[in-house]
Formats: sequence, C-alpha cells, structure tokens
Amino acid sequence: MSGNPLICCSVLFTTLLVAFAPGCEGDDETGGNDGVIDTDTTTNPLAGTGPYVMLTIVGESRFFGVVDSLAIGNYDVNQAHEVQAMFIQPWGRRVFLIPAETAANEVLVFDVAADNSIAQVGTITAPPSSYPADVMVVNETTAYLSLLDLGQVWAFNPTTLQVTAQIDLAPYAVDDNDPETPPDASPEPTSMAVKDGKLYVALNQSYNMSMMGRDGMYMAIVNMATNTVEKIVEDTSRGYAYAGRHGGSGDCTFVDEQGDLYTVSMASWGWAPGQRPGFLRIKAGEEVFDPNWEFDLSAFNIQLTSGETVTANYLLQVSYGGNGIVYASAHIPAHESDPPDWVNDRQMSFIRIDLYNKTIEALPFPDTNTYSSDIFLDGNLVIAEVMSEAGNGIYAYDTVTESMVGNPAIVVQGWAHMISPLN
Amino acid sequence: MTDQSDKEVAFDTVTVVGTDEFEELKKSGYPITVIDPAKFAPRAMSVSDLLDRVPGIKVRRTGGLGSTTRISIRGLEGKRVKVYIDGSPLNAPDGSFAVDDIPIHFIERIEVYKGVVPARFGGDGLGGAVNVVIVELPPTYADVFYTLGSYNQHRGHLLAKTYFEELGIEWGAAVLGQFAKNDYEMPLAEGGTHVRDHDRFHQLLAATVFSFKKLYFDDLELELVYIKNGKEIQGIPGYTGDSQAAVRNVQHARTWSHIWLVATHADKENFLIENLDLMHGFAFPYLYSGLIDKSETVYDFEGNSYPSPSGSGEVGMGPNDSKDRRFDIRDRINLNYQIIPALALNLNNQFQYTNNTPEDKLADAVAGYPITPQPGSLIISVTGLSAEISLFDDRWFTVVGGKHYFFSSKGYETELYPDQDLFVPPDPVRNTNHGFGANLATRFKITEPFLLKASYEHGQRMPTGDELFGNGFEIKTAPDLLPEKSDNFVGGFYFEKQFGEGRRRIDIKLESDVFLMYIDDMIRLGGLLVKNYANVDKAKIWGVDGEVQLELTQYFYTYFNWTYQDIRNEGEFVPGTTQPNYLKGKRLPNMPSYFFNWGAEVTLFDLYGSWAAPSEIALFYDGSHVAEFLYEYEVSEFQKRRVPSLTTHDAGFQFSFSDKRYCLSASMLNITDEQRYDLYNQPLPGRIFKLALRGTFF
Repeated sequence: MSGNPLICCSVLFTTLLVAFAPGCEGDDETGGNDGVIDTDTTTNPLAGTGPYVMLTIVGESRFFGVVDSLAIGNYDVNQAHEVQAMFIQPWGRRVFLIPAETAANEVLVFDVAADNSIAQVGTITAPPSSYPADVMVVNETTAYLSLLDLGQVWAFNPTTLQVTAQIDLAPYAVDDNDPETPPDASPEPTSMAVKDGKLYVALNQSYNMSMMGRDGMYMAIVNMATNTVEKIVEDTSRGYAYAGRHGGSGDCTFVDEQGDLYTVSMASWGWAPGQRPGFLRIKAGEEVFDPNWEFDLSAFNIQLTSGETVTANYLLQVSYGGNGIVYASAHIPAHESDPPDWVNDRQMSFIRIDLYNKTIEALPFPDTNTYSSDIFLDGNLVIAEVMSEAGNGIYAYDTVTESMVGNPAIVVQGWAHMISPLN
Repeated sequence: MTDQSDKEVAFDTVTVVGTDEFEELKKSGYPITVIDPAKFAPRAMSVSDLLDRVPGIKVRRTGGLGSTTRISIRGLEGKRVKVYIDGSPLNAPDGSFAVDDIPIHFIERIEVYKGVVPARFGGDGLGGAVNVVIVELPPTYADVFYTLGSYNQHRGHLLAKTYFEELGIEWGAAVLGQFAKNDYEMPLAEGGTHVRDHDRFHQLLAATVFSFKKLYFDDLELELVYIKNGKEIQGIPGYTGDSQAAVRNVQHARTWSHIWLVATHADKENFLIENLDLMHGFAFPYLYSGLIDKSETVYDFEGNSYPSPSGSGEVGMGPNDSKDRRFDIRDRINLNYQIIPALALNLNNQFQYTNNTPEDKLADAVAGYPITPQPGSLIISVTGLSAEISLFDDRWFTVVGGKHYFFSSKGYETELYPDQDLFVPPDPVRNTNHGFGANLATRFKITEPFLLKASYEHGQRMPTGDELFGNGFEIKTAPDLLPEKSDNFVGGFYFEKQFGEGRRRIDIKLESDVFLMYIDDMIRLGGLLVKNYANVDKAKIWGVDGEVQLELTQYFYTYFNWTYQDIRNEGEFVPGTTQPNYLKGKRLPNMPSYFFNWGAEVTLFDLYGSWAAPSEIALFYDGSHVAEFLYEYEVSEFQKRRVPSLTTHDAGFQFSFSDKRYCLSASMLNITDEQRYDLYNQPLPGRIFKLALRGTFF
C-alpha cells in the first residue's frame, strides 16, 4: 500500500482541527469574590457587614458558600460546595442545611471557620422519604429536627449530632376519616420555637399528596424534659390555615421580646380560596391562640413604591427584625401569569410588617421571583435577594438614611436562593 | 462500465453487476454512517451495542436490560433525535417499545444521520436520526436464537415464514422473549456495595405478518403485533439524579404495559404513471400501561423498614395504581418520481394522531380530587419535498429538500392542589404551531476513491404533550411553548480503496466530518413551587469525528474511530433578565467531550470437515474510551458531579458453519470489570458474559 497523500492530508486536517479548536483550553472561568473592597465603614455602609451564608442555584445544582461582606461587589460559586439543600439554619458558625425534596432524608452540617472557609462536619440521617423540614437549636446540647412526611420531631445534640429522642406527632394528624382513602399519616411538623420553656411545633396539616392545608391553625406543645407531646393548640374558627413553614424556625415561627409566640399562616400558598394568610399569636404564659389578636395579610391594600396598589395572598420568606417588625417577601397574585412564567414573572414584593401596630409598608427593592426572595435585617441594613429584570443580586436598604446602598450591593452569578447571617 | 462501488458476482463466464445500497448511502451527500448488522448477528448484541461503536454516537443508559436508553448523536439526544423504522417514526406512544426490542437478525442495515436528515423521513427533530431498515427474508425461512447473559439475562426468538405460491401470500410468525434480573452490584456512597434486588424486566412479543404478492400492489403487508412489558423499579443508594437525593430502596413498585399494533404497508412501482413509485404505511398502536405503587412499607438500604410516610407508596408523594390508555393513528405516504435519470423528486407526508387518557383512581381517592393528568390529544403532520440531482455522470450528486411541520395539541389547564371541596373542572387548552425546515446535501467525487461532502439543515423539534400540558400534579401547562430550532452545517470526506480480490483483498476506508450546529429555543423545565417548561436556552455544538477501517485480506479486520464534540451554552443573558449569562461558553453537562472506539477481528475459514463447510471462526476484540464528564455545570472548585473517564475492553469468539446457518458465540464485555456510570451518574453493570446460539433453516 502506497502512502496515499490524500489519506495523510485527511488525517492531518482533522488532527489540526482538534489541536487548534477553540474552547479546548481554559473553557471554565474561575470567578470568585474579586474586585477592590472599600473597607472604610465611614465611607462605605456595606463595609463591616457579613459574613453571610448563602445557597445559590446554578443550572440544576445548589451551592452553599460564604459571602464575606456586602462590599465584595460580585459573588460566584467557585468556592462554594455543591449540596442538596433548600434552607439554611445557622447556629453560631455551624450551619444546618435542610433538603429540598420529599424524597430526601439527610440534613447536612457545615462549620464555617474563622477565615470563612467551610467544611462539612456531619450528617443527620433520617428514614427514607421522611422529608426533614427544619432545625431549631435551643442550646449547646439540645436541638430539634422536624420531619415533615414522617410526622416526627427528633431531639438531637447539635454539638455531637447524636439523636437523643424521637417524638411521634403522627397521632395528631387531622384526618377526614374517609373509609375510601388511607388515613393521613402525618400532621406535617415544620417550624419551631421555644416559649415558656416548652417547644412549640407548627403543623401544616396538609392533605395527602398535596401542598394544600386543611382549614385551621395547629401547633403541638412538647415538654422538652420528657420529649412528649403535652397539648395540641388549634384555631379553626377564623379562617387561617397551614401554620409554619419548613426552614422557618425563628422567622415563620418566633418568640418576641415579650415572650409572645407568633406563627405565620401560609394559607396553602394562596391556592385555597377562603384561607387567610398572616399571623396568629400565642401570648406568653398561655397555651391557646390569642382570640383577640390576628393579622390578616389579605386585608391590606399595599402601596408599592411604584405607586401601584396590590394585595398579597401569602408570605414566602419571613424574618423577625425585633420590636414586632417582620421583614418579608409577599406573593402578589396580580403580578403572576396564568399559567406561571418562571422566566419572566416577578410576583414577589418586599414589605415591612409592624405586627404591634398592624401596618404594612412596601420596601423599595425591585420585585423578584420565588427563587430569590429572602430578606432579613442586619444592623441598620435590610438585605434582600432579588432576581430583577436586570439580573440577580443582593440588595441593601439603609433604614437610617432610608435609601438603597449600591444597586445592587452584590451581583450574583447564579440564583441567590437563601441567605442568612451567622448568628 | 460499472462504478467501483458496485459489487461483482461471477456466475461461470457471466459477470453480473449489482448495486450495493450500503455504498450508495455512504457516498450520498448526507453525513451518514451505515451499519451492517449481519456481521454481528451471531453475537448477543443489540442495536444499541452497534450504535455505541459509531463515531459521533453515544448510547446513554440508566441500567441493564430494559432500562431507559437515549441515543446521543453529536451531542443531540433524547427527544431531539428521532428513530425510524423503514422511514416511519418508531416508538410506542410512551416509548416503551424501543429500538433495542428489534433483534439485529431482522435488520438489513442501520442508517445513522448525523446533523442532516433526508426530507423523505416524516418526523421532526434537530438533525440527528436513526433509521432501521428491516431485512427482506427469503419466502421460506425459519430462525431460532437464544442468548444467555450475566445477571440472569435471557433473550430468544423463534421465527418462521412460508410462501403459498399459488395464492401469492407469504405468511410469517415470530415470538420473542426477553428476561433479566439485572442483579448487579452498585457501589454505596459510604463504601461497600448493594446488589440490585428489584430490577427485573420481562418482555414478550408475538407477531404475524401476511404479505400479498399478487395483488395490484407489488407488495401489500398486514401486520399484527402484541407486546407485553414489565419492569420493576430499582432504587439507587445516594443517587442524586438530575435534581435531589433519592435513597429509597424500592421493593414493590413496578411498571407494566400491553401494546397491540395493527399495521399495513404497500409498495407499488410505476404507480399510475411510469417511474412514479408509491410507498404507503399505516399503523394503529394501542397502549395500555400503568404504574403500581401501593406498598404501605418503605425500606432503606440498611435493611430497615418503615411505614410509608404518605400511608402507601414508595416512589411518589402517594400511592399509584394507574391504568393509562393511549393510541396512535399513523399514516405515511411517499411518492418518488424519477423524472429523468439525473433528476428525481420525492414527496413524503407523515401524519400522526395521538390520544391519551390517563387514569389512576387510587391516587384520586387518596388525594381527594382528580389528581390524575387530564386526557389530551395531539396531531402532527410533517411534509417533505426533495429533489435528487445527479450530474456529470454521477460525479456530483445533490439532494435539496424542504419540510413543513404542523403541530396541534389539546389538553386541559389543571389547577395544581385545587380546593378539596370546591373542585372545578379544568379549562381546555389548545396549542397550534407550524414551521418550515430545509436541508441540502451534496457530494462531489474528486477521484474514484475520494469524495467530498457538505450538508446543511434547518430543523425543528416540536414540543411534546407532556411539555405542553404538564403532569397535572406539580408541572403546569406551557401553552405558548415554541419548537426548538437548529441550523446544522457538516462537511467531510469519504475515501475507500481496494487492492486485490477474493480473500486476499485489502480494503481501506477512511471518513471524517467536521460539524457545527446552532440550537435555539431549547426547552427546559423550571420553577420552584410551580413548574413548567419554557424556551430558554441556546447552544453551540462543533466537533470532528471519523473512522478508519482496514481489512487486510478476509482474515483480519481492524478499525478505529474518534469523536471530539464541544457543546456549550450560548445564551447571551440569564433567562428573563439583561444580566450577562454566566454560563455562556460553559460546556453543557452530561456530555463527554471526546471518546474513541477501536477493535480487531481475526477470521479463519473452513477449519473443520466438509460437514460444516463453509465454516468460519472469528475472534474479536473491541475497546472503548470515554472521557470524564460532568453531569452538571462545572462552576465550583468543589464540584462533585463527575462521571470518571472509562476504558473498557470486550472480547469473544464466534463460530459459524454451513454458510452461517448455525452459529455459536461467546463474549465477555468489560473484561477488566470497570465500575461504569452513565446517564446522570447511574451505575451500570460491570463485567458481563454472554453466550448465544442461532440456527436458520431455509
């Protein structure tokens, strides 16, 4: 066989194409917290903030990382860890990551070092399909984990991660007693708070195979010494429903400075006509819902900073800022397409609620979607994650100067999903 | 004079020259690979096994026999690649009958179109297609085949055919069966392994065909087919899939299906006028299928059991006992008119009507309202017109064509999680779309053994019913969904040279393509509390692939092929914003960037006595290397979602005698027992042994 020049040239041709093809090298950009940071707090109100822990969605993945400061300007997930998580519950520099799907059964535990590096230090594993919903830490030796689909709350040591007790709430599931359908196996325990030395557990009481909650607000009161259920508190007369929310301990269910417990009514995420979103209260020293107090979100006409007046049908992210002030992202049905358009809808608006004076004030953040709508108060700054038409970012509002700081403070490469200060 | 592509058969002093259709297709202007399955028929190979050795193609699997497979052609896969049988779209309405269900013994050839698909194929798609051409068996024929493989895999068929000459009727019948336990080991995330213990698959196919040879049509066929499938659902420890962790150790849930098919096929040359050829095909598949998931107990991989959190059901949010009904009406008509020897026109229309009626009374009862997806229907009509032009004594051959796509669907706008006491019937929703595609394929013969090819296609992929109408549970409708679109450019060459004759002949084949594709309006599922599909992504694919085959006499054959593909996100902005897309330029996940295949075969002839003559024994070896790839975007230094690179080796022997009427083969796949992962990092079987026996009688 002779050395056919056509064969040689052909092979060389394709080889050259591969060798000199664009994209063979350096096709992965490494980002990071780059840019010059103005650390002078007298000139930069964002300096001195943080650190914060954040969940960011990129493609189909979620990443857990640290935002050193709001002054960094840009954030990407290059130094973040890929996790299966939907919510974050910090406890000092330890963070519990709550999973996202009903098929999940693991709570991941990370520690944030002094240099803000992160490392996974453990896992709390529950039975398959138990759907861990929330973690609430009482002290260095006592914490609780609610398991939404399993219908249990586990007591565990947040330092050693050892499970110390399992509290069965399944008998307290509200059921229709329909002989043609299986009994409801769980009251769906979610967010928790400690009041008067007892653990209060919010119960969604949703229907089988549904995110719709039954009418009524329900909470379980647990004796933390014996880890047994003492009482179920309920209110079925005023139209509120779906108490608490997974990942909402300390925010969706919280105790204020007077020792009064407040819990959100999710009202089945707005899908149940007639259910009222808002809050109910259990006063300090009492173990019933306060019959003389309620906060009905749907009764308010909210004037947004754009001048538009809207109503809201549930709160998605909630954060207690002290002195009866709650910061939240509210779902505005008038801003949502039918069917929903997850690309273009901006159906969430940020508000400040005064529970004591029963007022609502819109905050000047851009509207956002359900992916990026977390909000909290850090010192004088109200911080929110926003997916605006300009893109994704972390915005800050100075409550002293009543003005936005940066616009946004940080541009995020990805969809910033949950953010929280280390407490 | 004959073209060197023609095969010469000598009868005494007369030399008869016939046309080799394989060679014609390879030397057409299309970017095509043509596979001859006859060489591999004695082995226990499937269509997917053959496709996996083709440059530019990767067959993506999720497990053993009966598991989901996807064909990836130069980075296009899943719904973007169409599979045809004899030019008509394949698949049972839910895909439960797949290309691997056709034994390769009944296949004449497999055509793989990589980037440009002839307009005469009546389907949508983005330029990748596989066409399986069924073999025309002799009038009197019988065939029996059995294969035994690792993990309790059994496959076999029995086929018989006879011809009633006076009546002019051929009658054939076939029974095929497949069974596998798929009980191979999977690694656990924490270390150790777990044997798959709930992954059984079984399939039974029975078919009969009547072929009428003496009616008006040259050939008129009536085909009746029944297929029964059953598949257990296997949980995978630590499997992260495409979204979240799922550690359910499923022990009871399974799927089942029954398919009944009535099909006709008619061919007529010189239909109405001379040189006008007609082909008509009609099919009516009816599918009855379901998911049974009623266990009141769930299990973990440590051997513990628990009450099902939802009361019953292992897989979903609650129990299922679905009984879904679905049928298609498919009709294809093709007219080919040879106007003059150098010019032919082809007109093709593929019509499909699908009606889908899901039912799950158990899920409805548990949920307290009709949670089952609503019924829906779909109409697709694809019309293609093409012209074949041959100039300069066939030195230059060109096919130019256009397609029209029409798509109309009807479903219902379901309320997710409706009020239990105020359930309102959903509103009907319709979606109608149409569009145009075009393609051109040209080939120029530089010298006799050397051809240059170039081709272009503008293609569309219509949204499917589930993308438009959701699942009635957590995925809502997307009535404004647009078709996906692509523009594909391919250029390459083909070289073939033969030296000598007979068993001492040396045959060299070398081919290579460079390809470039732009894909727009790619459909993706998104949303948090409520999900639906949207057109959000763009991609660019470019690459090069090729193959060299060397046959050194008829005793030795070797091949090597290569594929490099660069598939990247090309969206300018983050969807719904003006923010620059931080994923722009990044490789799309779940696609290896390069892979190689190679192999060799040694054949010895007539080693045994005259009782076995003509006989041959072949020793074969095949190897494959696939580069490491991510099954999600690479954006973090701590990225964990990587499928490691993999090199596998297969080997075996094949003994046939009496002119290949009787064959025995044995093979070992993945000789070094590498741990394999594939689609979404699902674990695949390790080392596999196979033994096959075949006898043909005619």
